[in-house]
Amino acid sequence: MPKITFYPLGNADTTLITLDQKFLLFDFAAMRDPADKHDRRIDLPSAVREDIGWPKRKEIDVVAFTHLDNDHVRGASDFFHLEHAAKYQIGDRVKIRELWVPAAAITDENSEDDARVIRQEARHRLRQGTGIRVFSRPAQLKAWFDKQDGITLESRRHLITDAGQLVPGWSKENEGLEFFVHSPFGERDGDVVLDRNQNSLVFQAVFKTGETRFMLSADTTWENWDRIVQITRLKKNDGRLEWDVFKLPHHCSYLSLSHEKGKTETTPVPNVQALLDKGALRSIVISTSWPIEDTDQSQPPHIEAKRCYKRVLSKTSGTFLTTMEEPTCIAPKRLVIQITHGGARHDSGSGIGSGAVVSTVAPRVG
Amino acid sequence: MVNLDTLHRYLQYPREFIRAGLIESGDSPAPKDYLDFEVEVVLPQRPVAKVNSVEQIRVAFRTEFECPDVYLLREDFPNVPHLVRSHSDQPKQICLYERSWMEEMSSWAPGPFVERIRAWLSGTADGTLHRQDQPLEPLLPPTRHRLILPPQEEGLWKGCSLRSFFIECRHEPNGPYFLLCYDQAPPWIKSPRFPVIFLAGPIATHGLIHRQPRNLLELEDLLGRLGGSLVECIAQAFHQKKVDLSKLSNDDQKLIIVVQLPKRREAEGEIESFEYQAFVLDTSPQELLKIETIHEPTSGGPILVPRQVARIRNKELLSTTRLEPTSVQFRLSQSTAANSNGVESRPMRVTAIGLGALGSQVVNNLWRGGFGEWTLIDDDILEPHNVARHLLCSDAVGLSKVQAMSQFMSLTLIDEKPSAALRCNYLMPSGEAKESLNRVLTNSELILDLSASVAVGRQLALDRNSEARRVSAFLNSRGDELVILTESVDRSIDLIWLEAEYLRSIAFDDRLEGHLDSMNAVAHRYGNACREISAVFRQDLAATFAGIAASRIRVQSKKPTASISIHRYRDADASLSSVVVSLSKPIVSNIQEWRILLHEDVLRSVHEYRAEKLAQETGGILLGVVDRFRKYVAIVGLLSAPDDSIEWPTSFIRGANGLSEIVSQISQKTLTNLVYVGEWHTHPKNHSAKPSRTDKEAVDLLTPHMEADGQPTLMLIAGERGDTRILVRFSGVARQFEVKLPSITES
Repeated sequence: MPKITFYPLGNADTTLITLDQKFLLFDFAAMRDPADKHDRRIDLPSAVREDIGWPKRKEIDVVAFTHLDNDHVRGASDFFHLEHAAKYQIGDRVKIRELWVPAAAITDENSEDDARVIRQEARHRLRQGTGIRVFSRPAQLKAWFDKQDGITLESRRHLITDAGQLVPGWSKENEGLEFFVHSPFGERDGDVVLDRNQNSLVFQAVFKTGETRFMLSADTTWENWDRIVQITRLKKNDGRLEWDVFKLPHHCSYLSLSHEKGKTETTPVPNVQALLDKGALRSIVISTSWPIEDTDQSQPPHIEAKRCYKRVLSKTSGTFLTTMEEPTCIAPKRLVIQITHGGARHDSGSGIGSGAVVSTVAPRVG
Repeated sequence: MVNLDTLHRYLQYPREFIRAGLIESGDSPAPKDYLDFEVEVVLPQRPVAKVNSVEQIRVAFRTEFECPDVYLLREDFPNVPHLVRSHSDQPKQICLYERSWMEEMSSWAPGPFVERIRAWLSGTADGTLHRQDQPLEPLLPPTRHRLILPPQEEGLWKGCSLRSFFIECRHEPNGPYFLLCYDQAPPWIKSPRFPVIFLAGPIATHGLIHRQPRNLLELEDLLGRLGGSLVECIAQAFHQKKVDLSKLSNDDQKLIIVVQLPKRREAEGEIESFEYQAFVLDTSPQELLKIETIHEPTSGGPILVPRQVARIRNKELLSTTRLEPTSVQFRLSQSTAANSNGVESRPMRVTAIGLGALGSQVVNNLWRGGFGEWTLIDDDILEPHNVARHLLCSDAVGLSKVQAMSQFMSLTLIDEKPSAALRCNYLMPSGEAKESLNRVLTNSELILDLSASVAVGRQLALDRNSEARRVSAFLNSRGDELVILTESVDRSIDLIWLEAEYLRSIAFDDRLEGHLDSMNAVAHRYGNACREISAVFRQDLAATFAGIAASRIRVQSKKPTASISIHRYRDADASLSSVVVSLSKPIVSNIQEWRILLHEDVLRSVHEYRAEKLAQETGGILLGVVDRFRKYVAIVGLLSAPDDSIEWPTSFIRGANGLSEIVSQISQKTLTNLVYVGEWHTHPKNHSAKPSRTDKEAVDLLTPHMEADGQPTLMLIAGERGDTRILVRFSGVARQFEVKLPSITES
């Protein structure tokens, strides 16, 4: 059975989709501070290696970076085998069969550190014309192609996927999973096409198993959701807004719901409310964030946003889960959503027993 | 009870931790042997079975040594796989453990136990509990008793049919009974035949495990629930005289009904497997259907006639006809044995020669794995000392090995083609046996030489009665190394050449150092050759190597190529290693009655030495295998010129420094099988290999020595442009023969 694994990384994203024989990784943010023995965030490189079956398997079929912020790419240059420079090929590195990036990962000139390395890798692969998929309106990349010697946009058009399309090479029938691209998207304003949210990927992934729908978003703001819902409805693609599992954008920030936090609970703008209402019975919402405090915070996660999601979920007997709270705040572990013939399922095991004892500090003795 | 108390304490922990809690009954706190509690079930969004988010459970402990019974208290819980309804007045019971309770009990703890129940419910809800690759669930629970039928027959399961079997009942005191059914009565069975009705049942969808019926009415009800009818099927078959009553004996023997139930995974799905269940009735068919014996008016002979078939529709009769549910198993045939071995059945005609320690066990391994339709050839009688390492037991002492083995095999697996036994000495068959032997070999598709005899291997290679491929397997004198020689399918590499290649490897391949070293061997030798030894060695090694030999034969028989493999066991660390010898095809020259086989490396080497030594001539000696009786020489090695040799531009005198020591060492390594067989030398630049006058004179001078050893005199000569010739003179023949060999490209 397929599964979706979310890793406890604080306010950071890494999501692994495991199919029968394939692995797809969305973002990679190794946030744990190895020097801090009290850091409860997971040792991501070890965890991902373990989950893909290292050392028997040394390659991930798809590695997607939804955008190149630090909390989505940190440590990627130490973890992945990158083709653009020999120094990223030394040691035990995980290979990437196909790299997925938004257009900004190609065009952005201001990246630093890991983001810069991933940008270089994406550019290299696009120049080579292999092992890459860029999500963008093709014309948006024209300026970049114009600067490349002898490589035309036309020759690489098959590697570029626009919003409103299914990602080539992935189908429910053959691979057991399809991806509908919501973002990045272009929007017509009179005669001009404006590129919105060019730096962030948003997909609706649909598993063949149980026809389970997974809304996978990055740091999508309420404005972008508003536009996504508008466009999708305009194109009569309402089904593409439905979800069984929703990975919340931006670590449960109120800004993904509305411009106003609200006094106790954020009230989403109408189109975002419409999106939330598309959640199916017993749907699951996942906040990839620190535990959500019951007090007003300036930084996400925001309790006001959580209350909004919980209210929506109460109508569908749904579940709200936070990566740093599962199974406990004291000892968070991987959060695994099983994809079954009956849809998504989260196994909440008993929090008692010797397993729980050894996964956390022992009581004081003396 | 400890487990009950432990579970009770666990269920008092906060519900948010354990996702379970006791059901407050309000009863008096009288001690009970069960606990009722609720568990929270993790449901998928759209459950495939109607499981609730909270289910009520009852766990009953009988003793600590018995698996606790786990019941679902909700009456309308759906009929899903891994559920049992043991009695209609009891709730449905969950099958929780695959392993026996004696295995589980040491690790039983309340937390994992409750989690397991929750996982059972969750898995049931999302359809993952019974995986698609898991076999279907049984429709009926297992029973203690067994009915053992002959191997499955086609056509048995069409409606209702009556058969009868000789039945032997075996059981330990208070133990289950085994009813062994035979078509032909073994000598020890004196009882008459028992009637057995075979009934093709309705197709059932797996799910709930039904309760075993206790009388005919319950069996009828069960089949009725599945969409069939026992009584109608029997009644119609008897009415329409589709049942052969002549199969019934006159004695009133209890009736056995065997039902075949086709099973499918899902309603409307394909039939995936069959379940068989027998029921031993406490009545005879004569009583049940009022079958009477009358005398047929025309012939006057007795015939059986069912007088009251309709009685079987009588519910009262059905409810008072008790039955004993009995599980059905079929005796193994070769094909079902192959399935149990996880290998393909290979029904090729195989002849095995030699049924000693290795042979008997190799044949046994292959036979039980569904390999071969066998003919066994051996002349020996089983003697007491054989039993130490033979498959056969002491009760076969004094019987011919082939007869006893054949009987053993037919008792092991029932097959349409039992093994045939031919007691004869393969090398010296008597007149009658000779014909049979020739017929067997002609019909064989594979011949296994398991005789540990060089003579048999060589004779077999040259036997013209069969085109079948030969495989020879034998042990070294210490019994700690196994050799397997496999001919190529086209037999261009035969056992004679394989033996020569094997000996060449022993002489020159460091990997086989000490292979035939008999320093530590406890053995008595009955001949001179490597395999003409009756070694004293351990049964555990015989069994190990018989396993390896059988596996190797199975694998190699599918490949067209020849092979030599040597498998070495070392006591120090109980390790096994193998050496695979690379093979070449021999260069064959037939001269008069003799066959000269030459290794291509020898041919290549003489030319390399020639090129190296030019402008001088050079030479040395040839080593090989000689069979004076079968008239062949296989040249597989050479030694270069000793340092006292004289190498001139137009002549060569081979020296002798250290030569006899080397020849002696090689002879020792190969148990005297690899010996001096002739001379070789080269001719100078621009000269062919055509023998010179002095070459011929040299051959004549050597001939008396070779004649004394019963060998032909051989001289190999290498000349310009890859030209190579052999000069031969046979014992008692004045003439010398010259043979030109295929030319070799000079390096």
